[in-house]
Amino acid sequence: MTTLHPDDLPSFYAGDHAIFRRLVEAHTPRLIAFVRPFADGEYDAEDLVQETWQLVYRKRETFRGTGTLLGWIYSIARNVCLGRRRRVAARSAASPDPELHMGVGAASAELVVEDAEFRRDLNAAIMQLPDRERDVVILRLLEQRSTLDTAAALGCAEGTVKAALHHAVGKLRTSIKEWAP
Amino acid sequence: MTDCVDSDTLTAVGQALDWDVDEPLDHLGTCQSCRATLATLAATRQALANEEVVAPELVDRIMTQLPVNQAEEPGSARTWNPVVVLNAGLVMITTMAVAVMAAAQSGGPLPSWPVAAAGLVAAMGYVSWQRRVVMNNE
Repeated sequence: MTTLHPDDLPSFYAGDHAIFRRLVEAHTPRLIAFVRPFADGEYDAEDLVQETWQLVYRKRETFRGTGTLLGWIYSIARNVCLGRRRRVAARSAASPDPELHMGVGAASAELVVEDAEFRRDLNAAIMQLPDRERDVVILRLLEQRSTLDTAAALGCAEGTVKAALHHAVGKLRTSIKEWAP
Repeated sequence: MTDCVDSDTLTAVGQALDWDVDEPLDHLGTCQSCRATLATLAATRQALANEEVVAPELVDRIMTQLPVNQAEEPGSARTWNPVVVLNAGLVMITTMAVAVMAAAQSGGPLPSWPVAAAGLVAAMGYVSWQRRVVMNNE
């Protein structure tokens, strides 16, 4: 589950290590796969994940509890990846624009998810979505919840969910259009 | 025929379209924009669903690096609750003022009960502060 059960919120806010271990075990497999395209190697991806969890712990009181926890974690991971790219850019001065969008190379003939640069583009675009849109994408596509369920989980109207998904897909399409047929 | 999708997949598509399949599928077959949107949705879902096997050692390392409690985090030093401090201060000042006025009117020595009350208020304020720190650290 990408959401946090309301009963677990007090323990989460209190920084209970038992619940954090449960969260780390549940979400790290996806988190490390998600930040992998921004890493230079295996250990670097682990560093990004560790840094993300430290920030998640420190910023736990800013989680409103209304959206998906995974989406909130991804928003923190985005800042970690962005910070890392800034540091790398500052060191090498090779990349003056540290934003997470990609100036990618040759366009592919088809969407090839395994391609590292494509994954980096797409993951960056997902991380840069507004909170509501990212939550909708996670609940509708990853958890495959219905529009009604998603609206109930996020405390909004079904129309809001449909609109958010529409806007999100538009942004994601734009970000990966260089890879489209 | 090896490119054909299985019946289970077709059932899922039919259910998703409320079995009103002809028009949507015809449109999907010819509309480049809808095909691109569908491809984007599929790619996004795959991106979100990707997982890697995580070694238990990595989980342990992540947990080890988390602060033991909030008091160890930067900028989380103990602080007095300003509301408690203000209330306790007001009660103490009022109590002492009443005691001094009573002593002045009677011409006698300062009674001991206001001092005890002020001490009690101070103790309650301190306990309140300690409870707040403990709750933050749990």
